[in-house]
Amino acid sequence: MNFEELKSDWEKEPSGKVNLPASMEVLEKSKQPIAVIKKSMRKEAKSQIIAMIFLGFLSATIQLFFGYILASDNHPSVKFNPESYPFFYILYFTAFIVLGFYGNKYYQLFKRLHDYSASTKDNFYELYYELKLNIETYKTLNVAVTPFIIILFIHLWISLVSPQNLDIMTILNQKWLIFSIIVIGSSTYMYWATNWWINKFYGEPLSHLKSLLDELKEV
Amino acid sequence: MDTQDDREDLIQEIILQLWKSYPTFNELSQFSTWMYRVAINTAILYLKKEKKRPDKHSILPEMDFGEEAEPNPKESQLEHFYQAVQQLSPIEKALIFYFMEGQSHREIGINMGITEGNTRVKLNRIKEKITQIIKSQGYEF
Repeated sequence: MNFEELKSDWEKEPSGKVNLPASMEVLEKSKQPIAVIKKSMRKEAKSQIIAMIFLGFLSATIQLFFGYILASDNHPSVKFNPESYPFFYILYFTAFIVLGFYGNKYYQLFKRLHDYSASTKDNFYELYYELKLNIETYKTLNVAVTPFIIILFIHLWISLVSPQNLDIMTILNQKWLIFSIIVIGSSTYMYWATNWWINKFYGEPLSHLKSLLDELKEV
Repeated sequence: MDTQDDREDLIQEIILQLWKSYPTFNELSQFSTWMYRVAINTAILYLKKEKKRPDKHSILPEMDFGEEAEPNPKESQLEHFYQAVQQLSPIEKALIFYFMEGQSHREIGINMGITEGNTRVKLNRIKEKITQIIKSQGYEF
């Protein structure tokens, strides 16, 4: 088979007509794996911010409802310690700062996932490690925020059900087994859920990039 | 790519990527070199979808070389070549594309980020693979 002859025939082939799209809006619906990842990253970032804001409002609403409205009617089963407000919101805003710190790192990495102009091997190595770094940042973000979320919920729970004459430390000492199970269970679940999520949305493109890089290795 | 729709989708992806990557064009290389790289890298990543549809790679399912239709031998060779290329991996497709575009082993190596020697070895294997695919379809030229 003569490839040189084929090459000259290829050169003589008329090049097909390319229809340029009328607007960029048509092009924005990219199906590229990296573009799809970026899209899901954007959605995740939005939903995390919304979840955090929701948590703040939810706890305020619960505390207001149970603490003041029901308690003011002398409802016997509900007791609320209003002194827990400052602790809750200090913790809440600290969690927000941690989220913001990692969110910013995540965004910086996200912005870099678009340059395709290097040589194929360099480009794919860069994409592969950027993606891995993004995944690790995402995992770290979840690990960093999880304790805050757990403590916020435990605190909210204690504030609502504990008798007012007992402080938080006393209750924690009394029910340490239940709280230990909650902490270990929630942390394990978060770890598992994060890994499952990453594998579902980033696993395939990552292994595709890895297989391409393996194919480019020296023979 | 076999269907016109797939080809158009890929062209759109490449145009979008060229548009987005344009700020990275630093004029240290020729515009055509930069454009080739962006287009090829985009296509390699995009082509992974093909693996899920092996049925699409059947050789010349709708081509008719019966007595009535006497195809031009040159066209027929190219047609068989295109169909054989469909069975290659995205990296192999990129390498053979650069070769067909008349690039030297050195230029292909630079664009792919691999050594000249590696390019030569890979290209020889790809050519052998294409030849075998075409032979397995009962065609030889």
